[in-house]
Amino acid sequence: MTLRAHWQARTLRWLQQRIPPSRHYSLNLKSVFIFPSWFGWGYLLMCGCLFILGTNYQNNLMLLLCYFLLALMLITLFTSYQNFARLTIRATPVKPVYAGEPAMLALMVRTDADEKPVHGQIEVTWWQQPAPLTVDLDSHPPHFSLPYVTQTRGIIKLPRVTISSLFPLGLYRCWTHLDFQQTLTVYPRPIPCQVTLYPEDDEGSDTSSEQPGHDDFYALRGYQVGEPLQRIAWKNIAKGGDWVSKTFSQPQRQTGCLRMSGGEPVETALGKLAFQVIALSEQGAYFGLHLGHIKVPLGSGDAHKHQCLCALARFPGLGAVP
Amino acid sequence: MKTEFHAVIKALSQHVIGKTDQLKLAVTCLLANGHLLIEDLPGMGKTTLSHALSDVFGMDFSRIQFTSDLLPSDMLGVNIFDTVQQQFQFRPGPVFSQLVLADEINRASPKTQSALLEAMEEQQVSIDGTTHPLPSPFFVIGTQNPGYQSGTYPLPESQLDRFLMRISLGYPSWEAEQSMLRAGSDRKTERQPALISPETLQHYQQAVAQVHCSDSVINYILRLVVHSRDEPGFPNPLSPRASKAILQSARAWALLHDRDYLVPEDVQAIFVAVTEHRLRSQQGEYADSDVLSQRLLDSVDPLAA
Amino acid sequence: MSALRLPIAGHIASMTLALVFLTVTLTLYSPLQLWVMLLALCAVLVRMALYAGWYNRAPSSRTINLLALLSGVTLAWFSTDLGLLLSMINLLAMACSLKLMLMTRRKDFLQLFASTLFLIGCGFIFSQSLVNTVMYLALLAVLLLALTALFSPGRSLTRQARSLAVSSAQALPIAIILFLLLPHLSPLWKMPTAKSSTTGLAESVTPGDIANLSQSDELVFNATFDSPLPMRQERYWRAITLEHFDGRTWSVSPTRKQIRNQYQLLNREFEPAASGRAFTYQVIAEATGQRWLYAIDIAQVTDQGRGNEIWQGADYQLIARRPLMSKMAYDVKSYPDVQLNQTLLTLDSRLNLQLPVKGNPATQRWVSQLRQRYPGDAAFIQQLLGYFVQEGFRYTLSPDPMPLNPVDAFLFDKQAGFCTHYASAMAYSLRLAGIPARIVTGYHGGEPIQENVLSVRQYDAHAWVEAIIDDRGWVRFDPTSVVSPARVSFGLQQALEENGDTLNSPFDGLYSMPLFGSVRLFLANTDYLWSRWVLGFDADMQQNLLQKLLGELTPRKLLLFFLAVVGGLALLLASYFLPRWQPNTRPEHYQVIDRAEQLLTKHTGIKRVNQPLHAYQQTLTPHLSPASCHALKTLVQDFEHIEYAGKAFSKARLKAMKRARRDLTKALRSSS
Repeated sequence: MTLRAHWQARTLRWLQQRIPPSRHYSLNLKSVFIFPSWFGWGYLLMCGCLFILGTNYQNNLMLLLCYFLLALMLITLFTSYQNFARLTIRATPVKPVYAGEPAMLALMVRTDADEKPVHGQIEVTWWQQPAPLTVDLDSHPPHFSLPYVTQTRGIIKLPRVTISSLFPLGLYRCWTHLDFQQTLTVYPRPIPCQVTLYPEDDEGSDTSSEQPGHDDFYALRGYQVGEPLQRIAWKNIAKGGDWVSKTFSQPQRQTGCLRMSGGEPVETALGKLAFQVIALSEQGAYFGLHLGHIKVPLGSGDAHKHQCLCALARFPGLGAVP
Repeated sequence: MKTEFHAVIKALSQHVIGKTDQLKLAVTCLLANGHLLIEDLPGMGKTTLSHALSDVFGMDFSRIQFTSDLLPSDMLGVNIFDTVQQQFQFRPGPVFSQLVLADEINRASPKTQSALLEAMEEQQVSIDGTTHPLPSPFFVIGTQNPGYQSGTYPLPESQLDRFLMRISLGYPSWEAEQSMLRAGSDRKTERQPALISPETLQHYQQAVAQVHCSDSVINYILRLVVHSRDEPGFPNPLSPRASKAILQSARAWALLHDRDYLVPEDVQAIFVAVTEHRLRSQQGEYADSDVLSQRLLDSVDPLAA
Repeated sequence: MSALRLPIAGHIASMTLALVFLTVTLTLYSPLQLWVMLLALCAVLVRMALYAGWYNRAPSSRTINLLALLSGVTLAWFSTDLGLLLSMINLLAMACSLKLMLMTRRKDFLQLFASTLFLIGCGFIFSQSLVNTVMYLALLAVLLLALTALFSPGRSLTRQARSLAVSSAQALPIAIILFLLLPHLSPLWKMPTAKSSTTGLAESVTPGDIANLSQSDELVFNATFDSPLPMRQERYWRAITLEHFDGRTWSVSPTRKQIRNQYQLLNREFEPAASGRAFTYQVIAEATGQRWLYAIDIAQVTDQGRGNEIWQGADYQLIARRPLMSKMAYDVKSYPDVQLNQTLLTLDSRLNLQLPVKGNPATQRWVSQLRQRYPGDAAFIQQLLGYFVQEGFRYTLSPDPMPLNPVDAFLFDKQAGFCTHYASAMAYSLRLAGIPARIVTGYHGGEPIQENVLSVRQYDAHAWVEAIIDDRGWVRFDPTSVVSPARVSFGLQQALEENGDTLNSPFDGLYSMPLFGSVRLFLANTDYLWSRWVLGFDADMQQNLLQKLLGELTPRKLLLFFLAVVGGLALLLASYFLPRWQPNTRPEHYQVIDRAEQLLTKHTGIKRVNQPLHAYQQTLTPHLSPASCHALKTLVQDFEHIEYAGKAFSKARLKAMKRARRDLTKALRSSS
């Protein structure tokens, strides 16, 4: 471990104790750090110059100006801290994304009506990342999203978020590192391919009677000679109606299991599976997923899709599917 | 309690014995112009309750047994070509009825489910571009079998909250079942005279909106809802639709108890029935004994300023 | 962070900064070169164009670099004339102008902010008047506002101004405490002086110079007397003694300068002995950029701290060791009755018999004739002064120019002039007659602005003659007083009025109006107080203040005092920022319920854990006596009615609630 990495790990451990992870924070003395900004130091230097000049020219007004500026800096220390410590911030759970897409961590600055609002701009960024997001708390609605760039699939614990503010005069930087306890699921990047469903083997045979393999009814239209008899709406005819036949939006509903295709790199195979899961879910198909010893039973719907994609994201067995 | 409603509950109790709370909630749901979801194992009196309700309020009743091969058209109705008049005529399905019992709603395919839910939401049915209004009052009682049963399609979260309340009757108490057995005949075949006419019911439904709600009660509801959004442990936080539902049901509850203003107790009385099915994720977790809505009630002070 | 870019068009903070910078530059018109001010103006115009959105790109850095090179060379060219201080200020203003054109990043803005702030500070070098100070404070406020606007752009300006005002008001007491109590150090090193700021008297006088001064009502100094004010005839404030005459110009004798330098090296100061009647007073001299100080003869500097900074010359004048770059206060004791014969009169005589080689032949002839008739010194001087009266000499501020043989022209041709003409003619004549004589320039008179305060302005400038008469030493003669007694007895205004002459100022006639007079007096007074207590606050005054507060200053006391001050500052900060005690803002019926709840919890030990009141009441019912139950029920009912029923608030209900609460208290007490 390099010295830098070692130091970072130490800092993170320390932060873990000082600012324990939470979904929402109200900042306080423990979680706020404050230090003069580089401009603050420059300002002090300028005050020093004014003092020297004022002393050498025995100029009381210059000295007064210098003392006033120093006193203002002292006052700003408190106003700066008080403003920042009023910040109450909350994260809403981050939504899963496909690899390569940015995940958005939605943060909300809560303003209680009976408390003074927080003023000024804040800069929000991930722990030790450049390019902060600047949010003006006075003019924006108090919620914003911080993008997190994903590269590879998996279950990722999002790093700490650094929030800093220079309000009101830029003399001090108040900042904090917050851990919003967010776990991001990154699905594999879908790779277009043919959907291949394998019949479900050995298990689930007892549910055959329950198979919802019925037709997806779409509309009725006039019967034309030559159409299959099974499509004739007999019920209708029995009621004394005309001969009509049913049409279907899809000939048959697909059912079966997805499996990993062999002979391909794992990531490619997972990407293809992700594509198939998405395609099947769009069709409303009833399908399952077999990934070695991980098995997602037959199902459909958004929850099922998420379950399957999650299994893919975790692939080589990082634990059970939630 | 208002005398009319007192009589209603009493009449209902003769059919569903010892479940006064659930009966009150069901009537409240009806008053609030919402739909009711009953979740129970078979044989708990879901159908009895529906029949009794339709009798008491003098509403026409129809029952749709949901199966996996039930088509939307079976439920909503179809356009049929009339050979005499040489044009399509609409044959209304069983859903055109004031009280609809949608039995075992989770057995039908998602398509059929969503057709019903759409009809519930819109109070009308559209077929081949023609809109047919549903009768009024229109009250749907959906029933669902809890527990994992293969071959069912659990209602998605997004559609579950179309039901204003979810109740479950549960097993009757010893005494209740005893008196039920003593009474002998399982179901009375003849219709009883209506205690409240559908018109009067509609009148009451309108009166619900007049119930006064003070700011402190609104704030209480908001605190509850926001708490579910802020605190961890609530997989599906309550939506604004949920907060509207809470307010509406609480008002109906207050009206039921002959009060023209809301108190926090009204909110608490209906809270579990209104919010539990919205809070819980649907992944077969009914067995979980922890009641999320009760946890919310326990952690928010109704008297906080 | 440094890479943060500023919005350009419509960015209020940058525009405000630019305007403040321009204003500061304009106020520094005396130290700044014209072309630097023009450069600043250009920069602000560029900013305006950017602000208005006529251009959306700042000028390229290549253009600016070229401009910088050009300006740098120009400044270097002028810098030898300007001196270090002015060059530096010009350089700063120039660099700021260039930066202003390039300002695109937040870093640039902050640098410019600091530089402008520093320029405001530098402004105090050149003017410390009350008006200027107020103006600079206003500029400072706007500048700080621009800074807050940078960091909270979404907030309305009035709100920003309000919070800035609050912060400033909080900072001000701290600044004042620091100012009063932090030690006032003496200068750390010698600073370059500002050449252009020299005003007042000069080291040489060519008759005609002081006419310009007379018209200026600029303050020269204030003198605060401990004793009653001296008579007007005694108020001759010596500033410079001029002992060298070249036929046209009187100047400080080079020999005298050499001697003074030698004495200063050896640290042998002239210390005239004096006793008898004396005036004690403090002089607060305005900044002149020169070293001359003002005092009535014979002056002794009395304050110890200043003793080292003021040199007593052998010509009875006080000289500061450093030019007066800011106001200077010094305590003096003057003995008006003591004779000025304590110097080496032989040396003085030799110096003051010096004559120009040629020129003024008419005067030479006339003096030698007069001297032959009146060999006695006293008689000769009598005749000389008499000549001015007999010939009808006139006092005027606008004499005709006398370029050639000025003394001849004055004595025999024009016969009109002001103090310098008379003094020059008389001193020259005395020297021609073999009587050592010299010119003293300084001020005469002064206007009392308070009972014991004299305010002396530039129009009080005066010149008179000193001559050595026997062993009495130097004796003062004021030929002007012979011609125009009012000039000496009542001041310049009176003298001019009598002569049908006026000051050539736009305020002619205004001076005679009583309202204007009182306003002027009030302003003068304010200015005096400002100078005395703010600008003149120095180490001595600080020590006096501490002594007044603490009595005798022991290190222990001082230590305790400073600890107390630090504690006081901490308390002050705490009072600003610690959360204040807040009154119970819950409505009254809630307060009643809260109290009832406390009682019940205490009595039954059952807490209301987020229950509504009805539920709580039901929980408690088995644990309460029927009376308490009843009281609680009423209480809850009344509360619900007030809080939830949506009826108009009724006092009666609240009273009923309070009554029910009292009943509950009683019932609980009786049951336990």
